[in-house]
Amino acid sequence: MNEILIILFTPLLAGVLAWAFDFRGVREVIGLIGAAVPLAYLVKLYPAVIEKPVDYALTVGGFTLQFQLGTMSWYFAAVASLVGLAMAFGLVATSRSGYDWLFALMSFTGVLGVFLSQDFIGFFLLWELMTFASFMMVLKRNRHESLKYFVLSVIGAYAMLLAIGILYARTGALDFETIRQALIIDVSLGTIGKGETILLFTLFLTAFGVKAGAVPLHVWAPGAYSETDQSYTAFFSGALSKAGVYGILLIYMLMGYKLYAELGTFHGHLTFAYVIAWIGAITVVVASFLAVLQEDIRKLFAYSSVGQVGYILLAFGVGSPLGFAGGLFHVLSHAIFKGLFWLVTAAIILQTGRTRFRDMGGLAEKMPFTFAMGLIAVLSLAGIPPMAGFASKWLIYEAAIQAHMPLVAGAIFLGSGLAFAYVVRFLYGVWFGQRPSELEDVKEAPLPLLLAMTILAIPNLVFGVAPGVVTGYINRILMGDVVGGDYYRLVTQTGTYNALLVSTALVIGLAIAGLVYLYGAKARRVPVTDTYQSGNPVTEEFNLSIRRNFYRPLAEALEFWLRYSWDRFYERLAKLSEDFADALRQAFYNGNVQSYSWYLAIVLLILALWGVL
Amino acid sequence: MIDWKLILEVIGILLYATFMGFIFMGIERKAMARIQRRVGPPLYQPIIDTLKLLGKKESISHGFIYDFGPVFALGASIAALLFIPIANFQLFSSNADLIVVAYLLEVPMLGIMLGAMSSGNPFSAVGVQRGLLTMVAMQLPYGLALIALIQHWGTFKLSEIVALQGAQGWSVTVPALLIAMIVFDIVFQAMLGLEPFDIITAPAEISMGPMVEYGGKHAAILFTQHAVQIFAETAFFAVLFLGGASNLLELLIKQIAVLFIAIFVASIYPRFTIDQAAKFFWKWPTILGIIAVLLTV
Amino acid sequence: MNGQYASLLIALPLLSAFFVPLIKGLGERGIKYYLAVITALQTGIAAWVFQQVYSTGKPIIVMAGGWKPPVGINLYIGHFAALFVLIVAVVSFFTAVFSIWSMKVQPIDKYAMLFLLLMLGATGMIATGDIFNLFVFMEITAISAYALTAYNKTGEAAEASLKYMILGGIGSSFFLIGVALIYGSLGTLNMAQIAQLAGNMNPTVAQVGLALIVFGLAVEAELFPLNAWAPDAYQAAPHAITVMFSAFVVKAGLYATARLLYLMQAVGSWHDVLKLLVAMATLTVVVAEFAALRQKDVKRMIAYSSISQVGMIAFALALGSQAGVDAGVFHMVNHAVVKALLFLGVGYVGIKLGGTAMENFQGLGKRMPLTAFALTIGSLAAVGIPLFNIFWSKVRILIAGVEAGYTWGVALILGASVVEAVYYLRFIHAMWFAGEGERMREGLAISLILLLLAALVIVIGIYPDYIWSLAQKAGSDIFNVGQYIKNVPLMEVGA
Repeated sequence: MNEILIILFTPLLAGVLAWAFDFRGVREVIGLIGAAVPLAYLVKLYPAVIEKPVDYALTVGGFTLQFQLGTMSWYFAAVASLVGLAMAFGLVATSRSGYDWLFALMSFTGVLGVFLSQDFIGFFLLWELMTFASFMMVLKRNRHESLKYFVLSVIGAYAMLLAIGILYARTGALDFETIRQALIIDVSLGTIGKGETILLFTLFLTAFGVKAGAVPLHVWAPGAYSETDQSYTAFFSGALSKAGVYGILLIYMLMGYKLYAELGTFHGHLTFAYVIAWIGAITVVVASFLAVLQEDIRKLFAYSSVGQVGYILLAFGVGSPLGFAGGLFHVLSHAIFKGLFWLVTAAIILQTGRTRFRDMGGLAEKMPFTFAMGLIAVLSLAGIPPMAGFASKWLIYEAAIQAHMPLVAGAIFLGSGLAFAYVVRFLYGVWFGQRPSELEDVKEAPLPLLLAMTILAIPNLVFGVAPGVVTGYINRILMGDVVGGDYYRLVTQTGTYNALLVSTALVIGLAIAGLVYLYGAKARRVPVTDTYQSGNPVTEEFNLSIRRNFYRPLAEALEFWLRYSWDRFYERLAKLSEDFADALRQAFYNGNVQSYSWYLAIVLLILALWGVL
Repeated sequence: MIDWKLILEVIGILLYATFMGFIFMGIERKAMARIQRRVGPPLYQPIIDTLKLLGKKESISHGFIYDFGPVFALGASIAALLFIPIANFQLFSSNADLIVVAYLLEVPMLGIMLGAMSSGNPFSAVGVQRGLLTMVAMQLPYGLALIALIQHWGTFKLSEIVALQGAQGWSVTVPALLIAMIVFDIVFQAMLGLEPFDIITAPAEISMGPMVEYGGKHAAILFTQHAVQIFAETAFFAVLFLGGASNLLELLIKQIAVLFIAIFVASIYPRFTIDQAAKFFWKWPTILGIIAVLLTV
Repeated sequence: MNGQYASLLIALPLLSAFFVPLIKGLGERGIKYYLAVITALQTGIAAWVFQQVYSTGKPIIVMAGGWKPPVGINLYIGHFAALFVLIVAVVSFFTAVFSIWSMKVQPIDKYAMLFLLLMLGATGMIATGDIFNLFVFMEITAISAYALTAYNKTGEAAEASLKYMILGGIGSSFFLIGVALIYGSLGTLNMAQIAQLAGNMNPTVAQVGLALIVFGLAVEAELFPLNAWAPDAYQAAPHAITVMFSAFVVKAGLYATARLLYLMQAVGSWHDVLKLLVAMATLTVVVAEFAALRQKDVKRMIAYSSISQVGMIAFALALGSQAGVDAGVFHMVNHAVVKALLFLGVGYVGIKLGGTAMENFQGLGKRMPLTAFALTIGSLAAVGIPLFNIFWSKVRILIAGVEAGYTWGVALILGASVVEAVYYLRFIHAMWFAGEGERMREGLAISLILLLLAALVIVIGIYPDYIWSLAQKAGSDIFNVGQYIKNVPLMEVGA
């Protein structure tokens, strides 16, 4: 049997089995095995893949589905599998139902399939499977949010379908390679005009933008990410959103040259890429601002996730090899730090049953391991060297500035400032300050969840200190020496980042500071209530921590902008179309047989006017 | 192979930077006092203060993170310093990248915030909030100023930026970069925590903000951190816009010049509230920054 | 065995319908079982015919009285007819079984007669090779459908039936005029011969004739805006009958439209008619989907959904390309399966819980898990989720549509499908995640049928190749008119 088939369908199979044998213990074991197999096989295939791509073809419904494990699909699949495995460990702790396992693993298969497909039928099929499975995960908990997710996803999917249809009609092919070549040839033939090229681009951008959560198609993300099992969200936001990002790459691969030929350049940038870059930049800024203002831990990370994927879009939009390298690296780092964040969130929610900042606080003492993991995620997301998050962000900075997109690069600066702000909000709200008395009995998260976190925390550190491991592989994907250096050093044309040296410097600094600390007088431990409060004694009765509206001044400064909301815009649109539907039904199917007869007469009239009668 | 020369340089520069940093703090207080027609403390007062704090018999602690925060902050400041070319001492700066240094200079903030938050003091929390919002607010003009600089010189490497300035004249002599420097200088005011952006510690308003709970050796570490940070930031300014320096004296003159501008600005302006600060930063400095980056594209 | 036995497909239901009064003495149960037996027999014959046609690859031509067409009237059971006659028979069998349990309203004997006549009419429409014969079968179908719509004897049902009758009557009259025009011009009613001679017809007469025929059939085929009768009729008719309406009655109309359309390709205004049909079909989809959006009654909601799917089939058939017709036929099969499943399930719940209002479906997953499961499968399939059957046919239709240059139509249909997703998913949510309820007993036979259909949905979804190859053959049966003419052994008379 072909390995690709095993990689693709083991999770699905395991999901179905876990659902069928829905007993405690059994489903967990099956699920874990199912989630571990793809990673194991991907590792096993690694030597083969870097030699030459592994292929597999399957015929369904008169279409041939081609799968290929090339360097790029291996990368995406490996990222997804890593997060998938962590998710499975998380689910062991957080989920009690076979339903969750079924759809979580089904979406796992979908995501892998999207990355491995080499033709549009397989791509679309598994894309839909992935959407559907993730939708079912949300539907169980919240109808409204799941519908919002699904409607936007379906709009995206149908946009893609339409684009696929147009491509098929024009090129007669569905597999990527043929389409790519046909479109390159078409530049000189010109059968696809400018208008149609723009249409195709828009359709694909809509399709992939929805999944990636690009503003203004991001509105589903906060709700959907929140209203599901948080262990699953680790995968949902860590891996599944990458499908959209992958799609953007696909646009480049298939249509890049055609788009360049039709749309040309704008101030030295590829016009279409520039559009993507700006979408990314706007996504970064808008989503990060919203993340800062959230009062619910899940919402905060949901918006943050949207913002971070914006970085990837932005990086791809830069359009230079360095941009792709940065974007691809950020795919990995976002997956591991955001996956880690969601697992931490899962642990918090599992142990406290609360999701809002105002109900939490002071948990660092109760859940020290989870806190440490959270801190790693925070450092990585905020882009503190030497974490994986910094290495990828650094590449994106370099790429954007090098490509002379100053305003886009400015958005990254703003975005990372905001990221700093919201992670600190998370740190403060959950871990520090006075603990509400109801949370006195909170225990450390269960072992599987801790394992899951560890799985994702280690790469954050390893790839942080040795980012060259990742960029070395990315050079393979991009087939060129885009990012130079060695394991510890990244060198671009204009800049250099030596992760090991930075770590060393930090260690030196910490050692010096630590020595000062150790040689100082001894410190005495006091409780959190033993604190200065303008002379008032602090007691347990009044919780003095700022629990609500932490960033109120920011909200005040942004008052004008916050009046506009995409969310409300869509809700209004939905309501309008429902009203339209009602009006249409009442007007047309009015129950009056006389008017029905008139319809017949009208059609006859049209036939006559048409000249066929 | 151990590079003894480098190790000696590192130790020497660290001692020098810490010492000069404290002196800068002293200058700040003294100059401020003179402007306000007071006598003010002697220049070495901060050193004595710090030593006194270190000598305290006992200090309180709110737990591991409370201890770790200041240590982390100082460690990060030192790390940042090591990447800045200090006059003719290159230290690690052959590898220094503008973005990396800019980030490292922000890391100490996280350390302070971590420690402050874990103290559970409400004033600290307000301080943390203000600190982060200031950072958010200043980030955009700050970034734009740096981008303008990088775009003009075409490199991220600090050592190359210095070398290019040596060959082609200081950054400030370029009109677009002059604008960038103005922007940077406004941001600089906030980086140093001086009026009108001394919102974070906001003396007499929220006690000492993040530092409220700290005393004894913790406070001493934070003071030291502040000293290193001031030195590093002024040096950063000098390197970016004033052509770096070939010896410590030249650097010192430039640093003090930068410092005095900051002090003068600080003594003229009253404190902004945080939302005013945000609105301010997103207006003029941002517009100037955009002009600068567009001029250097 | 001789191919002429295929005439049993017509003869059996006709004769057994006439026998119903004779066995009235057997009582209510007896008649119901009789119905089941007859439909089972019919299924057997249809399966045999199907096997014959598909194994030999040649159509069965049944000539009445041994007269060769065009003098004699012939049945033409090609790939399409063989496939659909089988579907008609199977669905009828399922509904007959369902009726055993569900039909309580008297008089059962009349019900059985009408039931058989409806089946006969649809079978005849699909199988006939003569245009006047087609009209006759269409009338049989329509009249038994009118009667069955009113069968529940409620005011609502009577009203729905009346509307149906008026609109259906107008439609068939125009159809008849069209037939008369063609007969007057060509002197033949045989479809093969019409196709042969269509090119020589007086262009004006041909145009008018074609337009009138299409217009008349469009009423039966539920095309906007001639489908106003459909939601009412679907809702008012007994549950079993609704299944038949959606699964094959409308398909017979669609088939007839497509068949006649392609036979008369040579007519000058052919492409204009196609364009008009595409426009009507697209509007059918859009309007019906929107109409279903806020529907409070599940049966009516699914009725609208059925109409929209039919619109999609019509869209595919009217594309005028081989790919379109294949896709349309494929969608017909899938739609028959899915809508049979949905209407059966909904009808079952309607009877069990006393109504098909949305509230009754809340908590269905807890009360009747099997039925709810089957309904969920059906709904997901209707939405067009991959790995369910409708997905494949939808994709085929869309690709064919874009290829034929109707990108706008495809875009509109896709937009409407978004709406479809919304109401079906609300429905699913209501079944599984809202409301509470006690577990109820679910009947064995009906559960089996539902699960069988659900399994079919999934099997076709995962392995669509077989049905797709059938659909391709059936599609070329409609599209490839030259072959059709060749297959019918026309007597050389005059012409």
